[in-house]
Amino acid sequence: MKHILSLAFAQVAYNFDEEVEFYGETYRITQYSTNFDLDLTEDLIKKYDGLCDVICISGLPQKVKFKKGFFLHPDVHKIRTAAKETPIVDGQIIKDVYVPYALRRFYLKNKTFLSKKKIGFYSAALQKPFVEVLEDLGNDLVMADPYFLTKLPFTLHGSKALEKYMKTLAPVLRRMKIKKSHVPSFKEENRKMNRALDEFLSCEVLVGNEANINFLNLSHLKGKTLIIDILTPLFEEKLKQAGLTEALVCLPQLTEHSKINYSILEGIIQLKKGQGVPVKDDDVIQMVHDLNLHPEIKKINSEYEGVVKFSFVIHPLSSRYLFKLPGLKLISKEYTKPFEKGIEELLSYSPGFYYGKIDGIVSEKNGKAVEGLIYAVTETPKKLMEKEPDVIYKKILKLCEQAQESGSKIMGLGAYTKIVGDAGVTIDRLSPIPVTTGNSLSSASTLWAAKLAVEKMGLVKKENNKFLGTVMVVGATGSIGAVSAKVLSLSWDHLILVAPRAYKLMELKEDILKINPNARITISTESDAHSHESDLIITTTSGQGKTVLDIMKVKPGCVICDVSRPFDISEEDAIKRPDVLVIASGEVQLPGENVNINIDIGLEGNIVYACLAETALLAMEGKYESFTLSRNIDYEKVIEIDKLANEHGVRLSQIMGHNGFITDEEFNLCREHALQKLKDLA
Amino acid sequence: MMKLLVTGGTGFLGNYLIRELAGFADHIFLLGRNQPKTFSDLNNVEFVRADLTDPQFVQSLPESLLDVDLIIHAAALYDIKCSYDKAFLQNVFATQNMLGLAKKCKRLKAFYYISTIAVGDEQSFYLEEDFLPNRKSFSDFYSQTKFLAEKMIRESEMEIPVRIIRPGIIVGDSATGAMPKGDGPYYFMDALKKHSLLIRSLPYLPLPYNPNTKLPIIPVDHCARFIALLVKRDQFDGQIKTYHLISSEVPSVREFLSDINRALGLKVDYLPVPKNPLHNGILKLIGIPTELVAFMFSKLSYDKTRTNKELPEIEESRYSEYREKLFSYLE
Repeated sequence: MKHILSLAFAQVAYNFDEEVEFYGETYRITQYSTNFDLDLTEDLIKKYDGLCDVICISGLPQKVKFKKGFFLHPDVHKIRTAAKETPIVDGQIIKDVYVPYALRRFYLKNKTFLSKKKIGFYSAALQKPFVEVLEDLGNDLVMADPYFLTKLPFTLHGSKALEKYMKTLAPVLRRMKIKKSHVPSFKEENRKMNRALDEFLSCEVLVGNEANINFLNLSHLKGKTLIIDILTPLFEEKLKQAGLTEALVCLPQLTEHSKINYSILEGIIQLKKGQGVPVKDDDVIQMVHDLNLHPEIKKINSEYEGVVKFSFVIHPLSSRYLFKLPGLKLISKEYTKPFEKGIEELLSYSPGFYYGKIDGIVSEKNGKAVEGLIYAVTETPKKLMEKEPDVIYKKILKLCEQAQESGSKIMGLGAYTKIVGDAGVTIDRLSPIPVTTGNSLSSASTLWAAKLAVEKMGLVKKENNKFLGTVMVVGATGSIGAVSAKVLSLSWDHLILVAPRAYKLMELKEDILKINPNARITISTESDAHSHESDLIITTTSGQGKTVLDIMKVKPGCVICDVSRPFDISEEDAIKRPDVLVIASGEVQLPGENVNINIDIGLEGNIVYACLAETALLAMEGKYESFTLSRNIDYEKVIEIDKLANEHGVRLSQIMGHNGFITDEEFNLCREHALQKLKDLA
Repeated sequence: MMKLLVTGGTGFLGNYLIRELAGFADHIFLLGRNQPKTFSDLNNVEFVRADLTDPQFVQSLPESLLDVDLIIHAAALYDIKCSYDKAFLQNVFATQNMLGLAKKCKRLKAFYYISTIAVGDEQSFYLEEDFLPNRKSFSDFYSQTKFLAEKMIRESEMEIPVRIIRPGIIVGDSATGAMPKGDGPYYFMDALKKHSLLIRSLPYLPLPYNPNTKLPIIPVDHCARFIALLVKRDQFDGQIKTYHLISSEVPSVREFLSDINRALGLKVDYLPVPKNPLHNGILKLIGIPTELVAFMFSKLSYDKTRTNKELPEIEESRYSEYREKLFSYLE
């Protein structure tokens, strides 16, 4: 049996001598915790030199590599070269090779886990493999090295600064003894006194290892996320008591083998290679492959059990709404006209403000209570479009900051604020919390509304959840059009795509056939050619009021879902055909028995805009990410939010027409007209 | 046929312990680095040369040793001033080796480990038997390494019964007062004796101590006798049993100091003052290690439920009865 000597330099009381099984082989591991005592470490190495098969040292500060040269503490060098015969390993090769891979792999799978989060390093120099990867991801890095190593009150923000710092202080660091007493205080109380500590503790994600953290006051970890190489059960217990929320563990596989750490793992590789042959990167790559090593998130403490907050920005939809403001309420409705313009202009200079809140939202899936803070900007749509986007961005960003201060995790952009400039991209980039436009759920809810309207009209036959009718999408190559077409292709028998540019249509058709190879698709550049056979027409164009569809040619009993703003089908047109139902959008209701909105957002009861509901949904799911941005909408996102809505209990509540909700009476009336017309035609 | 394996038999306590054990054991293997001359009269004691701090300790022992019935691990480095390095090797490393040996002994009935009451946290108020407090800070490396060793034994999950014996501060022979080496309270005795001429002229001497702190002492001969009694009576039941060997009547620090005064013919009044850096310097100057100061403020009292139950003889060990002899050391 191979004998491994493990020296835990930064541990105090973890000594054992046991036979440990690891992936089919048994090793005798003798471990001593040397409690930062160099003499003892050296003595033990000399005692065992030649008597054991490999010596694994953990907890020693490792070699810090730079572009030019490296820094290695002389004491570390002394220990690493203390043995004459037995090879000494310290796990650095595994860390160098595996950690960047593990982190990147994790990031590619969970892009949102680290997004918009400040990442703090106890000592970036001692965690170099982490730095390289995390720097690539574009997060704000706070390196507390000056404080951690030399108690200087500043932090560093990049590997260049770190390199400069290490090079400048190398002569000092070289002369410092590696001692426990050098570790500074990380207590919350000292935060006000120390700029570096304050900045470090403001990070949501901290990177460290057991050797770094073990001797600190752990209370500062409350509510944080920790990125750590390995987590021993003992240390996990400690972290749990400290109140850590979750840990990203790079080598969770080792948790089951609690006696094994990085350096012992490297020692095992060394044993397999035999003495005299150093461990190389390739061996580690092979091991990662063989043992299928991968990182994992571990929930240590269940998250804060309070109410999760989200925010949402709205604005007055027309200058009439401005007169709902407390001071302006005094002007009675008949006399507002002459003031409208002036007030609209005047108020648009006011900054955004907190307007009200929605509470009592409770998820049906996980019972999480969610609260929405509604912020308002004072621009009417006209002003929003007129002004420079930068001005609007600034206003909304101020609100984002306010929202973050009041504990919001995500911000939703309502109504026209989401189409200003680049549709949220810039705002998201500069905002401290993630921003979403809510368009995914808007599209999804519109399709729900269309489906419900068709069902209520009852003129299209249904079989196996599939409508045996024809649906036409006008403006199919646009972003909403394409998504709608893709979704509808799954539930309708025949799909007609209409758009002005034929080549784009052909591309879209191919795309849809990839998703659903059985779809029956017709493409056309003229809407009127096919409108007489369609049971449902979705129009989503940027026609700006131009006629894209002659309503007179439409099939009786058809449902037209007009997604375009301004509308493609004008109110006058719609009145011309009482047998055709024109709907504008679907509004949704939030789950929870006592949903209460303490302000007037233009809807009734617990009914809200779909884009607001998307923000609430993301908060309920704990998915704090920029879900929908820019004018493009992803098919996958729509499907995903549709699923989330179903799970959490966000449902379609009302179908909106040109003038508010469409009642059942209106449906029946329309249906009667349509049946009559069909009878006449027959 | 009872075969014992004893380590630390050449030490201060070991000297007495071997004699007590030799009275009833059939054969005693005495492990040590240097052959002692004192046991030449005992024919059932066999010396085995071994270095407990050798990684190959277990392999280096003769096969015949592996059929012992009991192991009594009493070897330790008792030096309050030693470095961490040395203390670790003698107290932790050696204990690990002994555990390794214990696993190899197939006939072993129990493992005796001589710990110390210094594993208790001076900042707390009560040290229970059968429980090792989760201690973080230590005033000296001796306590720290003994603590680590005891922790290691408790966590080693041995299949045989484990007996942990925590003697108090071991003082000289209750019959003769003999004390071969000065440690613990003897540092005070030595220092005060050495400087008695100077101290004689002082009305007051400020000293960092808590007058009400009890000194948990036990004379070495009592300690050895009690350990031997425990070994003799052991039914080898239960997993881990811990005993606190402390005289049933112990002096407070004030009492102890006034007894020193009486023995030396001093009249000085020792003024209790809090811990302070100035005194640390002075104490060092007169030859008292500053590591001792923490013990002068200990608030600990010691649980003796099990000890009193299984070892009623401990009632007979009383400070008032051996104090006279104890201070004959100073003469």
